[in-house]
Amino acid sequence: MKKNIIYALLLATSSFFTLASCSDDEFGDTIFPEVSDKLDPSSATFPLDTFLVENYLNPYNMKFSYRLEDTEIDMNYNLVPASYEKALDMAVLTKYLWYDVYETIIANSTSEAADKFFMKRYGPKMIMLVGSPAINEASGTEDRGLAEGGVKITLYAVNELDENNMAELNDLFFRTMHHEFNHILNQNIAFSDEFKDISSGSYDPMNWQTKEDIAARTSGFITAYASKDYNEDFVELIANYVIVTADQWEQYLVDATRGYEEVDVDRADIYEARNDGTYIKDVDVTYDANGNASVYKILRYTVSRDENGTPILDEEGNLIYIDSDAIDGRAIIEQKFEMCRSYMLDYFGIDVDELRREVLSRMYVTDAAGEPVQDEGGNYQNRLLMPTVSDPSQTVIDSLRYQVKRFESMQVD
Amino acid sequence: MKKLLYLLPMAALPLMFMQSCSPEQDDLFNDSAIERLEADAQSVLDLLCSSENGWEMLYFLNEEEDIPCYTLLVKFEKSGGDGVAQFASYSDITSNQYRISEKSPFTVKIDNSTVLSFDSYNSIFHVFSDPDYLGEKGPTDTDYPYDSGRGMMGDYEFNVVDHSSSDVVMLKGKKRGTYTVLRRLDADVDWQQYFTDLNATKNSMFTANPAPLRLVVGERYFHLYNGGGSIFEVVDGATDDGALTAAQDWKFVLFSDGLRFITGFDQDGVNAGQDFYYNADRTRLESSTGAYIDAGDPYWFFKTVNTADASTGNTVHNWVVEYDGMGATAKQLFDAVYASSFGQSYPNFQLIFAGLNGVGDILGLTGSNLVFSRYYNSLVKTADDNARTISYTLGETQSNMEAIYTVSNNTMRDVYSLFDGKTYRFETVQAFSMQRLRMVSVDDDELSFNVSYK
Repeated sequence: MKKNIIYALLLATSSFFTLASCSDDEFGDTIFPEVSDKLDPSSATFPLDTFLVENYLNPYNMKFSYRLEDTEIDMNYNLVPASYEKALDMAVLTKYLWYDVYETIIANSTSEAADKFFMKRYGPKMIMLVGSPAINEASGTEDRGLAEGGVKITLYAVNELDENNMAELNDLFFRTMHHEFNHILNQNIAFSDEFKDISSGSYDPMNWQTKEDIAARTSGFITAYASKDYNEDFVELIANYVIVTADQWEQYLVDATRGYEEVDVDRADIYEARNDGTYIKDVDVTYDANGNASVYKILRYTVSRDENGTPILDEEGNLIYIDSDAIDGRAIIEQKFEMCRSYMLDYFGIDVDELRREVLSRMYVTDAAGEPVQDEGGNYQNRLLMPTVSDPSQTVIDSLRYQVKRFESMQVD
Repeated sequence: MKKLLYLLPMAALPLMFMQSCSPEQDDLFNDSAIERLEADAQSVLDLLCSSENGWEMLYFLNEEEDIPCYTLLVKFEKSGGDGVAQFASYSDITSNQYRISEKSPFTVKIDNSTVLSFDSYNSIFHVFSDPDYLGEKGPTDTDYPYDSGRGMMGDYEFNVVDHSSSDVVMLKGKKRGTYTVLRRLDADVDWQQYFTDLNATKNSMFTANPAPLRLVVGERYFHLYNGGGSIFEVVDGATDDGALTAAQDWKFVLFSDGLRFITGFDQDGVNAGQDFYYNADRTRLESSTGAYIDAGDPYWFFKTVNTADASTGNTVHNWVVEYDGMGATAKQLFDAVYASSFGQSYPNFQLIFAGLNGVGDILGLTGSNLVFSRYYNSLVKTADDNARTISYTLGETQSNMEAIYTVSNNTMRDVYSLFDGKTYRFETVQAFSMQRLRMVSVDDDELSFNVSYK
């Protein structure tokens, strides 16, 4: 005991000398130069930078980064930055079709689970834009988005953004936003193990990329990527649901009741193969020595055929579809989606049907019931290209861009 | 006593701490490390933006891959704390036409050193690192030079490794580690004219030059083949038979007044240096090592091209005698032919060195209604590798030629006599090209004429 006291005293004395010995050293407040967080109005990027501060940094404490930083990306990929113009579009569309959508749904929700700070609490702390897709050299797959650690989302292929093509916008970006955001929600609040068990024997993390989306549905996956693992399965269901119309979703479910096959077709027979009512798409082409296509590998519905390979029709003249995998893809998708629906409602007070209605009303021209309407050609009308109510001389996308461009008046040379 | 041994080191501890702060040492630098890095970054930004007409950018892509290198022009302008950059190019990445890009933001920032980051997309510069850029399509839809996901494997971020000179900035790609050079561009250089001149040089050196360039290093020399794609295929000249066996690739770029290899040229134990500059008369590129690059040996190339294939007796390429530029002796003989009735009837006739199946080397007549396989005289050729000369004697005259001798009042026979018992040496006519050579009689400088490669 006595020895311990002596040791303690010695140590205390040492500490005293230690402190005293350096007490006269003079340190400034910081060794780093002071950096102002004020934006420079002489900067070429001042308008967008100001928009990002006002719309993301201040309200959500979120950094929206459109300048490529190697410390924020996987150096194993070859990538290019987003262009300023495409970054501007992505910044306003992210707010319009993601942040503002959830804010609206939360504001209107009567659920006790609804959190008025939902986006600030669960929204990413960083969105990183990359101009090109992240292409895996070995597998040939392209990453369109990435959610990391519940705080960061990377959106790839931003330079391919084309506001005139809503289908492509959906495919490349909006689905990715909802997909990656739901990863973050899952990283904060896990979904049930029951969901994980439904397709537990069917996930294929190594070969999902060899499948087509439509063919994956027959196994109970909404897309091929959903068949990678249960995490992707969960978010793909929600992300795909909220960006498609009820008719399109129903078609997905019908797809899930059919069977699919890939067959080789000689060049001489390709016209007939593409027009027999079962053709879906080309998946590969073989070329001869002269560079001409010789054999096509096509994906088609599995149907009853005669000995010549011609589809057999039923009494009403319809194809007779065959789904021989003994899996009720539709039932599985519906079962899993109901779990997604409950998850969003129970934990966050978000009704996914309301969410979809809000998303679709911002993407397409909709009727009084909130359903997208088709033009004479059967196409949904891109709302971004429609005149705004307040100023018919400008389109919705113009008005969104103006939210950035208005800061140009504050720029100085 | 044992306790005391334990206590002594403990008691000494305060002394150690006291001593650690007692000496007053001057700081090695006046500013902190971060302040010095900030200052360096600012000086780089200032330097880059100081060139009012921009910079030549000698952009070397991945060292290991079979990917070309490029000469670009880039101009930096300040914009707030950073700046905007504008590029220009005339190459396959701009569809082989001059194009100037939009202005795109860039950043000079601090990492382990100062970094120049082209962190916002530029439609010319970022093609090099675009994983979706597969290059120009080949014969089939799937035949592209670059793989998806790899592209040209360029960098978009560079460590600024040297900016001690106000005219040259050395950059090193952060991802690929390849060095790129910025050279200050003179204020009076027109950007489009810059590429027009550079393309003319490339055309003369590569596209229109049927021969390899020659790199001479003391007693050794190398043939530099196929530089059009900015990658030479290099063969030891002493053993070269034109078949490109054992060729080794060397990447390079051309710039306004020279050529730079991706690294110092070092092959087969021969070190020739990295940078080669045009000398005053611009007939060769010279390195500070004493090595130089020129058009090569005209004797070797003439003989290599004009050697009848042993199996077929044919040569793939031939040499045509040109009237323009003839020495007085040769011109006098040709003028006599033009004045004859033959010359009146066939004013576009040409003399051609060729090879013919079953005959060997010939001197034929070609032009409208004249086929050299029907109107020729065989040649007996004697090459002297030491003297770098070729001697000719006329062999068998093809029977059709007798009629031409007659109709030309034997003036054509006199022309053919140019090659009977005469010995010629060979000279280059154009810098960096063997498209046209000059043959000069060793006995009479006026018995001379140009021959062009066909």
